[in-house]
Amino acid sequence: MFALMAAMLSADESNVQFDPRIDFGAFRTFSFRAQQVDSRRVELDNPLFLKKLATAIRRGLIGKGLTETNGQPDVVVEFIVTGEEFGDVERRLIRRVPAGPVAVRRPVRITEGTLVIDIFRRGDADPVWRGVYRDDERTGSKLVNKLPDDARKLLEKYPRVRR
Amino acid sequence: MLLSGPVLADDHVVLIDEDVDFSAFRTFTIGTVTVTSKHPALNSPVVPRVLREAANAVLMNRGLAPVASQPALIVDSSVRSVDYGIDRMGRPVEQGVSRGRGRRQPNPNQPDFTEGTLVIDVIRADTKALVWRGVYHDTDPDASRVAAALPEHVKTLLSRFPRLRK
Repeated sequence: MFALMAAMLSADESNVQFDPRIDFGAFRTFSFRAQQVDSRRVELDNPLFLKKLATAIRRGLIGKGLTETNGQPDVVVEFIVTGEEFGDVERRLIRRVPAGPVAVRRPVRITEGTLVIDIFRRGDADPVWRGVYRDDERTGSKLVNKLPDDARKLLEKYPRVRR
Repeated sequence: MLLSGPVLADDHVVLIDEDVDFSAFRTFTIGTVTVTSKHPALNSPVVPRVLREAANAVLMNRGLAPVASQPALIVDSSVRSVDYGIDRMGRPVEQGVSRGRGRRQPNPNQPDFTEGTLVIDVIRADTKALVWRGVYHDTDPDASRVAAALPEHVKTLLSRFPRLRK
């Protein structure tokens, strides 16, 4: 029923799902509903980051020809960011040593953020469009700066309003 | 071979409400300073005082005036520490968090490094809205070095607070 577009973007992963029976070009207005961050990272779990992300999503939709409204929108937008952290090891080969190449291991921590943008036709319980972007970074600060750009990349795949 | 020395790179970020006109704020007060750590060097009563002094000095340098009552901005800060061990595979593992069966748990009494997280929140006194946040993560095998570096991290973060135009 749902079409799936998937793309591997370096270590990141993204995909977009949408209902192919829907005429997305007919949707002209949108508004935001739920905005949520579920992460222990203090740089992500705060209203300033939510606002930054909402701004990126708003720009993406406006760029597709939609208009934000406080009234009765054609579509309602929700988004959630979930974060996870895990340890890993970086392996490197150091060549410039007298005894020859030496393999070294360095502990690293991966901060993973998953952004899910759902777009609902007003009144529907299920989304008609879903974009998911999983971004792995070494630091929380990179994630803060990358996730809004990830939102932009997802919304590039949203259909343009028909004129 | 496992590299020793600096375990994980420090990291910091500043978030700002871009819709707020920071030039309208001229006064501030230092609000709460909370420390959550089991390390004596971090949960010492000296740490909140040092943080207050550092924040006060930097914000005055940015052109803001400290006031005792009716400030335009309230500056809250917090410090939290988490200990990590390095497991057999060389991965950092947060101590005190349960792992799957069969995985080696690093000795909780001897963490390999401590991560200290400093958060500085600047809140509008009139609306209670968060308008600026700075976050600094510092890791070091020695928690007392994390504590000693806190004033410098306060300076690093708050030096990115918008300067008051004269």
